[in-house]
Amino acid sequence: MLLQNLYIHSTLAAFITGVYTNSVFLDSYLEASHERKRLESIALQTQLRALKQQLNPHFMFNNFSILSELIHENRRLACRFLDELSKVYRYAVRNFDRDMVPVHEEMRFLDSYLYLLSIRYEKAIALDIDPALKQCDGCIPPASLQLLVENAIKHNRASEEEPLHIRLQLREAGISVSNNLQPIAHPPASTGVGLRNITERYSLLCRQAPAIHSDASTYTVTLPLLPGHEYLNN
Amino acid sequence: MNILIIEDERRNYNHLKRMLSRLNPAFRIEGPLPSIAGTLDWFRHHPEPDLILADIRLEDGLSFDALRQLNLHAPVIFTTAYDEYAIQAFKHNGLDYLLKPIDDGELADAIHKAERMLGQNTSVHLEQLAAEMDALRGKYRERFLLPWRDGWLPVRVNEISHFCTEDKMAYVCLKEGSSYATPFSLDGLEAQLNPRSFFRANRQYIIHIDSIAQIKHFFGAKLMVRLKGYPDVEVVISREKAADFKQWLNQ
Repeated sequence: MLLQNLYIHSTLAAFITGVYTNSVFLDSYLEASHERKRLESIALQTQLRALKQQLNPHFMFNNFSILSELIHENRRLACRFLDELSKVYRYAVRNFDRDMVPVHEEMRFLDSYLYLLSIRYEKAIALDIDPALKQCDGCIPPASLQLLVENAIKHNRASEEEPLHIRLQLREAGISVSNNLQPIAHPPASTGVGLRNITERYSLLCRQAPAIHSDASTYTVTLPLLPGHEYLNN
Repeated sequence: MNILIIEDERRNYNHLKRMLSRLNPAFRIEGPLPSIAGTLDWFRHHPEPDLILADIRLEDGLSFDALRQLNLHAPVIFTTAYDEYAIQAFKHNGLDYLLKPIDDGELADAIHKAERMLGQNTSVHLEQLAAEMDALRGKYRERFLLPWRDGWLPVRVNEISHFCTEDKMAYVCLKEGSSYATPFSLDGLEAQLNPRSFFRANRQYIIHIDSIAQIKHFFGAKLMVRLKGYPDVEVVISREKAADFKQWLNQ
């Protein structure tokens, strides 16, 4: 009886120890896997953060330069210009480190940005913006439309005689930014960085990628629209 | 001074033009040339300006591309919003590199630097040319060997401020302030000196063109000249010689 009891006890003890040990192993296994996921997510976040845009310093200084002349030329215009420049800068400070922004917010920012361009380049740049974009529901990485417009100007000739036409349209596949091709002879060294940046941000956020289409006369990049709600909280 | 502005944004051009005119209303400002193609074309029909102000990003590429093809002598002041091109700028006659928005003071400094450089360059150039021509003719002295203490002192004519007579002795006075007796008379010296550089002001003085500090009107249509480094010397130029003197200075 005593022996039997001892046997049961020891079996029970072994079982309990086993369960306990297992649960410890399981815990640490789960912890390790959780940790790995956490690290992976940190790595993704870090990559994404590294890809997030800053406002190009050229852009700010060029606009300050124009502003210093506008103050002499037309003070009302100078005030409006400064207003729009402030909006652009405020948007950059508030939103450039988000993963995604709603298209209608990005469009408000783009409006200010394009206003500044129209004052600087006057008739050298012709813009055609689809009004449907302002009511569009999806999301895109912040500053991606602005980056595509900036790229078009960086790589193409733009003058009053040969204006650069930039067109933004809402399509089934997303938002397309297209321009007529009149490439400059020696584009700056940073060629391709901007577009690669957008593509990499897309690859970290979803399975979709921007589509590039180029023919003899036109260059188009189409940004897929992402459903916003999943991303807006991070 | 003729200044050409290469710039693709009209307002930046207006701004530069206004600042330059304020610095010196006599500047002749040309441009703006907004592109590489426009710049290359302009130089086919216009002589080289004294100075170029060039933006770096133009409508159809970088201004370096135009400057490389043109291979100009004129110094270039680059204007740009950001400093990533500074190193390249100095390979293209870059005299200075101004960041937009351009500061009045920095522009003034750069322009003065250009003026100094251009002034020196042309005068050194012409002086050398003149000296070489005269030397070829073997006509004028390049240096004097002056008796000094128990030996001799060689003096180049460019080091001389003026010659003067005192108690029937002729002295050579150097720009750095020292003076030495010479065995020559002023008439004899006048014949040995290049009339481009030296002027016989009166019976007592022969002066070098670079040592003139100030010219004032003096009574009787005469002129009174003061010399650099010799504040006590007053050289009076007679009414008859005043016209020749002005023409000599204005050559």
